[in-house]
Amino acid sequence: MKRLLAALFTLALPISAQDLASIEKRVTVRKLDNGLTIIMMERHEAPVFSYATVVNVGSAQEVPGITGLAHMFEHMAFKGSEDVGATNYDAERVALQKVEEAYAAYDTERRKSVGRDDAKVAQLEKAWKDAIEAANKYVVAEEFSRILDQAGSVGVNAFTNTDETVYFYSLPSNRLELWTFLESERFLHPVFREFYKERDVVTEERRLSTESRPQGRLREEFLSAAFKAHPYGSPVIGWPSDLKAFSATDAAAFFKKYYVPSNMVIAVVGDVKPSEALPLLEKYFGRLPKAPPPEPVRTIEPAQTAERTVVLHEKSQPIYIEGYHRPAATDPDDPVYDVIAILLSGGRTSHLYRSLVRDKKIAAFANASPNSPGGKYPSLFTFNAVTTPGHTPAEITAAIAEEIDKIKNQDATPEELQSVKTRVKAGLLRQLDSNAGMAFNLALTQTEYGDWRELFRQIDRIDKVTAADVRRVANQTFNPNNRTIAYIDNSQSQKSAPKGGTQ
Amino acid sequence: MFRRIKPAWSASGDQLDDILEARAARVETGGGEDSTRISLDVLKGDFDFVFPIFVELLQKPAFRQDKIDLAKTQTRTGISRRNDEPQSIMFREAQKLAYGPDSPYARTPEYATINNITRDDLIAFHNRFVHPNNIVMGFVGDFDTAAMEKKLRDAFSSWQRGEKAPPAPPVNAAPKTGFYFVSKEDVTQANIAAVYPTTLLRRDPDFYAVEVMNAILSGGFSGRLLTDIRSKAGLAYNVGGGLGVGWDRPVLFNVFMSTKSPTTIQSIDLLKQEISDLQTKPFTAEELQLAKDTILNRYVFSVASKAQILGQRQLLEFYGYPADYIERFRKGIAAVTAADVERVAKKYVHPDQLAVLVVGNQKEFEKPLATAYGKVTPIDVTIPEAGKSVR
Repeated sequence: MKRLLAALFTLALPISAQDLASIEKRVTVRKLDNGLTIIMMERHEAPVFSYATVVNVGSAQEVPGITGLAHMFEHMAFKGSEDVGATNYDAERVALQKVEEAYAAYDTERRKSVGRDDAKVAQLEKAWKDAIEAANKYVVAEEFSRILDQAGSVGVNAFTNTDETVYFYSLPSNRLELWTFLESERFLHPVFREFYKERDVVTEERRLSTESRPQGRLREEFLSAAFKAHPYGSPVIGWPSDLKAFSATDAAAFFKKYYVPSNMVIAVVGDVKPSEALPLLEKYFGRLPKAPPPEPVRTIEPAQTAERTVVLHEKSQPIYIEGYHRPAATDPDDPVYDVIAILLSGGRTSHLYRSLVRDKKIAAFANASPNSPGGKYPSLFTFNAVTTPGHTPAEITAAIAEEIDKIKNQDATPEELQSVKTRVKAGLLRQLDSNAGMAFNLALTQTEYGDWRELFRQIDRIDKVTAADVRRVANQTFNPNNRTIAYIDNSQSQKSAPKGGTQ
Repeated sequence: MFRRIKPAWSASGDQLDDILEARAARVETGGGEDSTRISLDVLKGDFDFVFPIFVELLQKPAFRQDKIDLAKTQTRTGISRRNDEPQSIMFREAQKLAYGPDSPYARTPEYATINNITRDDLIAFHNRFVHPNNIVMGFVGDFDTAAMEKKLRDAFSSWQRGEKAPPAPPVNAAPKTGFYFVSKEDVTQANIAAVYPTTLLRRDPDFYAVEVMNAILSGGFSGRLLTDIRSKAGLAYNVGGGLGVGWDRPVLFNVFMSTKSPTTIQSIDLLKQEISDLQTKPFTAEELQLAKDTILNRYVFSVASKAQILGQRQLLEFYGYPADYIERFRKGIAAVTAADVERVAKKYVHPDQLAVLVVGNQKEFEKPLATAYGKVTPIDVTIPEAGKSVR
């Protein structure tokens, strides 16, 4: 029963008020001697600030055996440090060393393919669990989170993707020094306490997001079919066997290699004065030891020369993904891919919406995404669709092919292109409206392009994209041999009801 | 003046999409349980052009048949997919269980109900509810207040009052104590919810102590549920919930989690224990302080932007709460004592009323739910075909 109707409406700032020049005046960039980059932007509207720490490491830095470790480390960064979360760190360090020794012995025995002694495995497992019990005596559970909760933090979280690991939250501005302490501590003195319990938590996250969701199951299959060499084909969350096997020792080695100051960018946005804040940041973050940057990923995905199709036969309703390899985000054609994605699926004027959703009514949702799963390395231009009742993935394939054909052969109208460009600008401004959105964009752009100003230069580049560019890039990308298709088919289950998705 | 502008608002929905997107403007609507929302988000320079569209959509929407058909197709798609993800089954069925399946606060669209809706129904609905005396409108942005007020008066002052909408229907829910099970085989986790209907409203002075209790149970990352079930036991990635307190009607106590199938019974027991502990495990001075600090220190973020302040005022206005409610809330929280929290836990937490709902693959549980708990009521979530009666 509807009782009342509330209307809220907002006026965004004019584009000209927030252009690069006006933002540049409020931005301070400082590179510390240890190589850490700090970006600070003043915004004094409210006594609060937000930050984002971007570490230039993601699942693309993983190799078989340690998939999921970048994300696992992200979880460990909430477990405190030598001072936070400990009752007696000296004793704890010794106890944690014993856990690692016991785990190595247990893990070696249980993974023997020849001559494994099951009684010995059980005994070693018990010794490992006893060692964990002993180490847990020194743990103050969730102390890091408790300090942040008590300080009035909001949006405390982090995420890991293929390209980066990002930590972020917001605090009242009178807690700046507390933040500089906590944020530098977690990367200066990380302690891998409760590692194996947290590994269980991450495994639950995998069950939740991948194994028990049709969308998750399909995406994992799609990516591993589309990439046969590059780590973009492995799930960020990790393969189950690796989640059962890797150790705190592995995590420590990964941390040492990738969490070096020259591989990190921190952006702080809000009610902060650089003259007062920068000395604090230098004092705390300057403690991170200088180390050489990690070596780049060697593997390059070879050109795809044959179409790949993956079908998941299960009970749930059809979902559809189609992808084409494309160059990395640093490629000069990157803005053309952005424009193509918006032409195809930005809003209700887009080609996919009008064709698949409005006219053909074969999809309830149809989307094009310019770079998936990442952007730092050559990735995929993807199409996602959800069928309406009674319609099939085959119809989606045909309808997308029709739209691709139009993009390849007909120029986008000047009005269409102008509308896309206007929306890109407005979209960016809306993202930068909040302190958190601004911090996130500044740190991420600095990490990916080496200069935060690229955030705004991207807009200039999108402005220069022509109808001819769109056709050229569409023709070089959207070809059958460069295509991977993955979908869920439930037509079999209507007859025999097979079980799908469990490992 | 916008009234002289060529009437873009006589355009079709598709033409409106072109007009709006060319200016990166957004006019959107959304339906909730007890309100409908229409919003406009526009760049400053386009206001006078886009505002009449907003006004027209609010006052005289066309409800074209092709758009109705499209919306119905979208809704049918949602119905057909509603059993694909276990978590959404859990939240939906927990609502139905606690409120009763026919309650307006729990019922879901069905093929039969959607098929029945006609354009006339929509027009009648609009005529019945969309009146100026039924609307709370808010404005925020880069404008001159006096000039904006004039534009609004020009647009709306001739709009006729209508009949006042009736109050929200009563909840009328009774506890459904027991165990309930939805079978879903294509998952590796069980989703668990423990629910019962509550009685408390936000106007009640007990609300503050309940908020503190909720923060102790599941506030931030350091609440009891996360610390015990996630960090220490490693049984879940997501676990949360608490005692819901409604604005103008009672809502639910709802605590939920998901865990791997072979630890389902263990997790149910632990979750029930955490709920009983609210009445038996004393709230420590440290827990109380942490909970109060968390709520109070976070306050500044709720007033960090004009848009947030506006949104809050609209909400208070909508539910008939005083404008200084936010300030009262701060004072109320600051005054809460450990004795208050203990008292409200005894008064409003009802471990004996819990309906425990499990969605999962029972073959992989430690043991069948019936072996662990006795009577278990199965819930059939089969989607009724069009033309069949709704359960």
